[in-house]
Amino acid sequence: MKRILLAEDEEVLRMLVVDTLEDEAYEVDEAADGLEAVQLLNSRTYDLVILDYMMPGYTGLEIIEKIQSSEIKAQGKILMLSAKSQQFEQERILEAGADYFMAKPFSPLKLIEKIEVILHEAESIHY
Amino acid sequence: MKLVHMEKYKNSLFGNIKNKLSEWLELEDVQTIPDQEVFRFLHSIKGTAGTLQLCGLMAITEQLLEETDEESGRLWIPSELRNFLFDLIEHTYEYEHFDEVEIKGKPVRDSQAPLIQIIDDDISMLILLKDLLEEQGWMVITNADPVKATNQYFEMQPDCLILDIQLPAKDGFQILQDIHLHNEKYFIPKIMISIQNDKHTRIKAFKMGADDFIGKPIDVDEFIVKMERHLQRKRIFDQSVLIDEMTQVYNRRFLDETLPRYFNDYKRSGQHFSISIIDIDHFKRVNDRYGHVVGDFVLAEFAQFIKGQIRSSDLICRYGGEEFVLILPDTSNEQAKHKLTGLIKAFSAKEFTHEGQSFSVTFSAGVFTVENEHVTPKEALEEADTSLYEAKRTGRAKVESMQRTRSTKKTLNVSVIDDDIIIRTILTKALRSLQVPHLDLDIAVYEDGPSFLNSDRAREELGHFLILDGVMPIMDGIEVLQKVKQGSNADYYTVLMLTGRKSTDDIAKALTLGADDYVTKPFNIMELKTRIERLLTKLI
Repeated sequence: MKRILLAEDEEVLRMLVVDTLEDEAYEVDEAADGLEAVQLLNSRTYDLVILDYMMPGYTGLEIIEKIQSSEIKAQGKILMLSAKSQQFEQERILEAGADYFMAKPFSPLKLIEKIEVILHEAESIHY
Repeated sequence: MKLVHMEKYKNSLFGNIKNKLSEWLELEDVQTIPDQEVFRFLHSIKGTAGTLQLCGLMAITEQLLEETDEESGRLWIPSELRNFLFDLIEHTYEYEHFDEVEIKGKPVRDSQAPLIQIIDDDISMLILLKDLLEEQGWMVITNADPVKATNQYFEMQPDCLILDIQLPAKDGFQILQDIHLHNEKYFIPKIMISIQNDKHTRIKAFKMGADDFIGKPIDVDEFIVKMERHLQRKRIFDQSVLIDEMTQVYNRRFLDETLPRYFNDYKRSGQHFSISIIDIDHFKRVNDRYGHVVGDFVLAEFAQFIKGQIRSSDLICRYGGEEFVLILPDTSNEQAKHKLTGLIKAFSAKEFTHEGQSFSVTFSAGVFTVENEHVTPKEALEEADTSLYEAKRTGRAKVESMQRTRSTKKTLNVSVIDDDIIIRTILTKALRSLQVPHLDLDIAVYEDGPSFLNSDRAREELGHFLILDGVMPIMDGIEVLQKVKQGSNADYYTVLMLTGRKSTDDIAKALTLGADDYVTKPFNIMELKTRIERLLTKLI
């Protein structure tokens, strides 16, 4: 079973995404802010880390920095969620080290599709 | 993928929004809220709203976000923030209380909506009929107490009356008898409803002036069609009539059509003219003391008296209730005041008798003289009305003309008691936006019964309009109503209860305890405003 971390401070959105992912038979951990996310990331490795850009504690970008500087355990793929959907913001996020980007608001259906593609790609590279 | 339970997330989101809003709304103005917090709150709602396809919510937050900034360092004072977030507060209220289907399916009643009065002591029937009729876009006033109801009938002059035959204290036939004389002069469809559906009862009802008879149990579809027909006939009738039946002078419709002509004539000829609004003093006392039959007689006599004393070029119209408009062509302000002073003196000398008791009646007048081209008919009437109000305020039985001076308005206490901060905020805003002529509304809100009852305001001997939530945690609305009605100043109160839709018992209790009207929650804000406006206008 693929393991996913969702770090998102908006409670209802987090609820919705977690429920949706669990319905799709993923194993999901959730973090309500940057600090919780860092704690979880230090304790285990995820196939996919979904990070909200703007969170209290640490922002999504700060967490990516920590992963890259090996301050936090290495992880699988990183998907960043952000309401800043302009092209240059997207590029900035991808340059900073996120593997994928998804603009808010998104439809839960699109998110699932995207996650399936990401995890599938990850597999084909592995083998 | 299953996304059947989107509702669940929507409800949680609005629940969270409501909690945050309530937290902010409860703050005193000595505290502040950083703009950053407001920005983050709005920002995260926006994202989630989009995902949940709550387009309205997303649009509101998007717009609000434009005026907040994460980095601004600005601090909000709670009262400012309340104004700023009002659209969101209102939207949250609407989401919580209406589902979308309901909003679409429910027509909004405006001030032009037909007014229907129901008199029935069977509360569940009364509620059923009120719901049914209001679904059609009509406005319904209800009363279970026949004596109060009769007064309400004369005061509100409904477009249609629905009357149960079996009532305690005074049956439907007796009420028909009470309003009989009024009815000969006014076309108001009267529909009797009764469980007693035999030929004898039906004939008796029709003989006594009923226009329709409906047996209980009521067939809903047929009932609605019949009501539509009655209201349609009433409308056609009203539109075709130019003479006021009761007083035999022109009616308001005629005035509305004729008045602009005087203004056009003025523009052409430059010949000034005066408009006066005249109103019988303490007319309510006449009604209370001698009955509505005598009241109606006094009105008719008054109109005929004025008609007999004016020139053939002058015009008298009944403006509504005991108010008339007099138009005096080619008459200066001084001449108009002189003429009216004479009329007041002559009319006051007139003696009325009722059952051996004699009494006299006075009237007051406000005058406005049209002396420039820029004034509109509406403004002229408002000016005359303002002067009339001044005449009343400064002792009655006199004429006033205060062109270009402002009047002192009467203050009416308006209090809202509701434990829900969102509803308090919405109601306050709605009340603040009300424009009632001659009234300054002194608005106060209370979160529970005791804090209202312990206030000085509650004991004031001043007109008081009370909007009372039926269900509250600390002291039930019914109990508050009971205490208000036990007070020595109970007569000063007009009470509008907010009740749950299904709480028949509460509605019954409220009406028996003397509430003047009730509105079931959830209420539509526009509609509640219209209703309050109508009730307030009657309080002047």
